[in-house]
Amino acid sequence: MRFRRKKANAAVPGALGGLLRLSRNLDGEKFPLWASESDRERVKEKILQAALDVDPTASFVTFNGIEQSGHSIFAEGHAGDPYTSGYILFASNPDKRIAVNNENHLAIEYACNGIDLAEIWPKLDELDNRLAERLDYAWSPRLGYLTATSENTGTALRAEALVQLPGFHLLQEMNAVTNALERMDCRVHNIDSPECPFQAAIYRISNRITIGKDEATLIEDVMRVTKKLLKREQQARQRVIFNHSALLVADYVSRALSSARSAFLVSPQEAMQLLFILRFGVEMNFVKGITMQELDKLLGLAQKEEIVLERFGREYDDPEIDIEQAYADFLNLSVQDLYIEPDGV
Amino acid sequence: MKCEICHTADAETVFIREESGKQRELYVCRKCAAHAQASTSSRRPRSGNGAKDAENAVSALRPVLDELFGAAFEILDYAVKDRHRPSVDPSCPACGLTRNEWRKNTTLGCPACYKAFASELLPLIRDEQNADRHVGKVPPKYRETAKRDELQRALRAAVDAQDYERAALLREELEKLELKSKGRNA
Repeated sequence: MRFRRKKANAAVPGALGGLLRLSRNLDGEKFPLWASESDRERVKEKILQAALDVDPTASFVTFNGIEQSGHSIFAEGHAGDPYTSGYILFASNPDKRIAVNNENHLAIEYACNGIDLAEIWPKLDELDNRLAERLDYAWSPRLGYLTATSENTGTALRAEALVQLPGFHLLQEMNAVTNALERMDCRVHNIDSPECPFQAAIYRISNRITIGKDEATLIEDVMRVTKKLLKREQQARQRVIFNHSALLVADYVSRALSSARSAFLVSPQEAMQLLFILRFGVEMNFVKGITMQELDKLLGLAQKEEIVLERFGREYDDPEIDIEQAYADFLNLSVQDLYIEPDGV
Repeated sequence: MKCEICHTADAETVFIREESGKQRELYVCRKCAAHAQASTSSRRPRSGNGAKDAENAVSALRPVLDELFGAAFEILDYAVKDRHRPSVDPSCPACGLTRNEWRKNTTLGCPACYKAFASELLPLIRDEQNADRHVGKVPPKYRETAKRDELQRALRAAVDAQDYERAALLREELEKLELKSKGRNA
């Protein structure tokens, strides 16, 4: 999932973005995992042609190409082969894209800034309808849209909200929160890298059930749960300060700032996590010297590996070292004027 | 994947069961596997009422020995006859994916697999998602068929409930739909 800059008036603390994904398959074709390269190539061509009919600005980029250009640090795992699997991107609208030959033949995705997923559903529905006129979808009257795994069949819709929950993280209540969300038929997935010592507490909340409820109800369920969760997160942040100590927050944010200021090697994922912790610091009014808009711009830039490399890379022999050094320089420079000034500490 | 016997715990092991003369692999949880194993062992004959210790020890060991010898002979039997043995692993006629391949990868081979493995897939979907009937969006091409199916289902329910007034309305609506479809085809 891509993190997209939020509009100043749409800020809900902790809400980082939303995404709707509709998985579809073509009737009479093997699912990508079992298909031969020529089968996948034929499927890719059919989908690309349909996408071009719908929107002439469509173009195909392999998953490798996407990762190299750093469009999506939070992207889902990609199972496809390097030539026939990838994304169809639309120059007319960067919020929509189609994953081709990943787990299913196609997955139509629509992203939004906040968590108002209901607002983007009509756009996704229309794109799906227009593609359905050109492609023969695998569908059954009983089970709905047929997918490669039975746990997606039915509507084949995933409604996802990306949220940051450092309040619960600092109170060590995430296990209880995860259990409660799972009881409400939601999936909870922590997307922080376990290798990174600084956990930004970023979670993807999505629907577990895809059959037996229509799309609007599934989206409404995820939105209702996420809104309630973010409200509780606000209370958790207050509890950290009033029931425990503001020093907990100050320490958490300060360690991230020190690391961002002085590290020599930082992976892109770690850079994102450090910036998200600082973003939390700005939300809590602990981190000074930068506005939320400026920090969101840094987060947007941190997702573009090519640009960071171009500006800060020193062309070491080891490309991994080159990237990590470039990200470290980028962070050192970006946060040099930031300081911690917690109110009342 | 859920246990195919209790449908609640996660499946951890494979258990082979004879069903109407055919062998069938079941993916089961540890508890059900132990239970199934125990019920198989308990059917074996046991000797005497414990007159001599040695006899007791041998009779206690007998089920284990029986099982060990049985397994050894079974392996030999497979090795000799396997090539001529008819396949017990059903497969999808469209893509050739076998049931075992699907259960191991949890990924189906093609849309036709849903029909080929329907008897196992429907309970699995019910277990996973607490429902097995789609109620959402319908692709434009199938909308008429879906509407007809829905009306027929509602008609059957109305007749069963002896709500003949509603049944008449539904029948009328169905006829209109048929006429519309015939008119378009003509």
